[in-house]
Amino acid sequence: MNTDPTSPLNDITQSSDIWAKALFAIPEKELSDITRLAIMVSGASSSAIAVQEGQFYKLLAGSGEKVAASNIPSTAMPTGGAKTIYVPDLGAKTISEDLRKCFPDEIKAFAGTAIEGYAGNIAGYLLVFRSDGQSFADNQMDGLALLSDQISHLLRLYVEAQSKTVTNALHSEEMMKTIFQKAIDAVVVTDKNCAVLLLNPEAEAMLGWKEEEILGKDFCATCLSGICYDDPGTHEHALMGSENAGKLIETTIATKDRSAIDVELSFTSTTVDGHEYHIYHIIDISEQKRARQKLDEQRQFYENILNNIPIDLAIFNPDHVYQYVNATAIKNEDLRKYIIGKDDFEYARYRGRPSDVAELRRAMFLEAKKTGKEMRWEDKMTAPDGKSITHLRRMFPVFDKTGNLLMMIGLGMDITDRKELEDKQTMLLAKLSQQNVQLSDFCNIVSHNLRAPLVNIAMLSEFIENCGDNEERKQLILSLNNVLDNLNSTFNELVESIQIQEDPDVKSEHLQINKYLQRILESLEPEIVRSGATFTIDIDNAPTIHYPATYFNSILHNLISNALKYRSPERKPEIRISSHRKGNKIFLSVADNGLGIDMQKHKNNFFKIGKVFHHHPDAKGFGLYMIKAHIEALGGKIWVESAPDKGATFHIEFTNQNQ
Amino acid sequence: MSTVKNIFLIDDDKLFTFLLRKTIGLTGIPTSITDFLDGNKALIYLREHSGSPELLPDVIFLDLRMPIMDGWEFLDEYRNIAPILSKPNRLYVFSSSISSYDIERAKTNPNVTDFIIKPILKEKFVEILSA
Repeated sequence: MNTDPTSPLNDITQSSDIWAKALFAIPEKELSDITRLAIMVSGASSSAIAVQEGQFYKLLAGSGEKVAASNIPSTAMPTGGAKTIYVPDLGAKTISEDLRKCFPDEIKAFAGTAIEGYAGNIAGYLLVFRSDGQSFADNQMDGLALLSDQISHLLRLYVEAQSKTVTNALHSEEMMKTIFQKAIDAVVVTDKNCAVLLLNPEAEAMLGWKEEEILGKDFCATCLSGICYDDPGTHEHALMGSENAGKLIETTIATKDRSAIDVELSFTSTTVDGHEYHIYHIIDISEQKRARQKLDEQRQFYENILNNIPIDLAIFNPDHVYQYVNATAIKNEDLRKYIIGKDDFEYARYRGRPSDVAELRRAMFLEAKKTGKEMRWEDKMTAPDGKSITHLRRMFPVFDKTGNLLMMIGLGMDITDRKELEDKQTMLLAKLSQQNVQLSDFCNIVSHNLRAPLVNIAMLSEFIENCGDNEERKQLILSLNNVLDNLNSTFNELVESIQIQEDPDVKSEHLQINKYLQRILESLEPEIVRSGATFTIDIDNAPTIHYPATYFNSILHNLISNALKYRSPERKPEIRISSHRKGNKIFLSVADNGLGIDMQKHKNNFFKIGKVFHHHPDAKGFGLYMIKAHIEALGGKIWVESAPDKGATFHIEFTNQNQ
Repeated sequence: MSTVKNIFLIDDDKLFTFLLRKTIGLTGIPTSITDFLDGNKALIYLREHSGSPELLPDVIFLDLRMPIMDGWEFLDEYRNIAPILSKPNRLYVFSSSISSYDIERAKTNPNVTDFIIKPILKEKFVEILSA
């Protein structure tokens, strides 16, 4: 007999009762075809199928002359799962009256074979009845058994079909089936306990499961790592709450080979014929996600670059409103966020800064917008630590194909170091060219001030050597001494001048002008007394000066001693010294009423080394050259106003006096 | 031939001119020497006597470094006077300068015969005055 213990319908086959019910459900026509065959096979006069119902076996699909009038008591039928039944003589004394009564008088004997469901459960019997008084032959019984197997088979098919009513219900919707099968996205249908009922081809492709492999498995546990229910025990659906209805949920889904795919999942529940089903709609977004991830990485990459390049970067819309600012430009993240959608004026107000920077930038923006050309400028600002920072700013417009301004790109580079280097280089260059001039000057000085007396000394000594006259010899030696004295003082002056020029980095300090004046006048006292010079001093407007002491002393000494030296023989020297302040500059002047200088003639070589304007024994042409070099080394200026026989006024401008 | 050579010395260094006179005297060549303490004084003289050849110099010794008008300034002005002088002369620039720039600048001036670095020896004067 046919048994199938591995049937998927085990739960249904637990009792014969269910099989019996199923037998009832088989259309009678199909069964009566078999009972007719049973008559022919067994030589019986009639046939029927007996199905137990309560205390009795009901007879179905009867065929032939006469079948039992009513139901057959269960007690008369075999128990304990017997597969065959054979009552050769109903008239025998062992046959109970109850049984005898069930049959018409003509029927003398009957036999039957069992109809089975799975696991040996007996659904009923195929019975044949004889009225000719003969008994059933063995081969007749075998034939009967084959027929009852046939019914068993039919019954099982029928039960299986019945158990798939859900499937049938869904499948019956042809349209839905087509959609389901041809859906571009994967669709999985489960029952309310998440057991898989359906898997469309897309879902098979995505998950790697064939439909028949995954049927009945818990979809949530198998593929969704249990995310769809709060508590695996209750199968309460977290995702099925109303707040998630129709919502796309981004999650990962496990395939058969345990790899994870990024998906978008949506689900709905539906009820068909009173059964609840869950329909999962799954979209593979791993490609999208990878693309998005890559995009994110790229964005991160560029933002990293933009935020870490040592260049301030800002993007403006055509109205000069900030669209983007990198972290180099504004380190503070909150400020960086604040400035987006604002302009420089709002930002300056917000930071409590003056608007001059904003005004300059606006002007540059408008110019770049108007001309379509890049603007470049440098701006200086003071950092919180008080250091001065110089930025090279660039602004250049970006236009679209039709010439409309798309945006303005602003770049700023901290060029403080470069600027400092440049300044240093400029200073070095100035010093170098100054030294170069000094070098050629030195050659001149050596020629004129040292070599000339040496020549005289050489010549003198030769004459002394060859001189026979004692008196003349004495005279010549006196001359030689004079030259030597002169040479010595010239040499000392020269050394002093070079030393002072060697050191332009001398420290500036606050000097009381009056103190220096007194000292100089004291040192020049013999000359002042001799010449009867008078002084007017007017330094109340600027009594102090920020300058290196040695330089200031040298400048003042030179100018005053010049004023005394080049006095007019016709009048007593009147010398006026005054100072006044203008902004961060101090102007100092020394005016005399002496010989004066023809400015027309000497305007170009006034301060040249070795230039002398008068036949004065002490005129060596150093002084003015030297002080000019000192003053200019510190960024100041010196100039002169003069007319012959009227006197001269020397003016000096000292810069950076706001310290 | 023992014509007296007319020599102009333009130099502010009185000691040097004194020594120069002595040196020229040692050559035994008959000379008449006139001193000028700066270029301007010499120019005024030349302009004044340009038409009197007997008062004009045969040789001019010009120092470069002088007050009021130095040798270079003198040469600039002399350019205008040289054509009107009624007697030709030779002009020697002498200087204690050893600057090659000064030497080159003096030698390329058409009015300058030669550049002589001080000191000037007796032999050099013999050579110049005998020419």
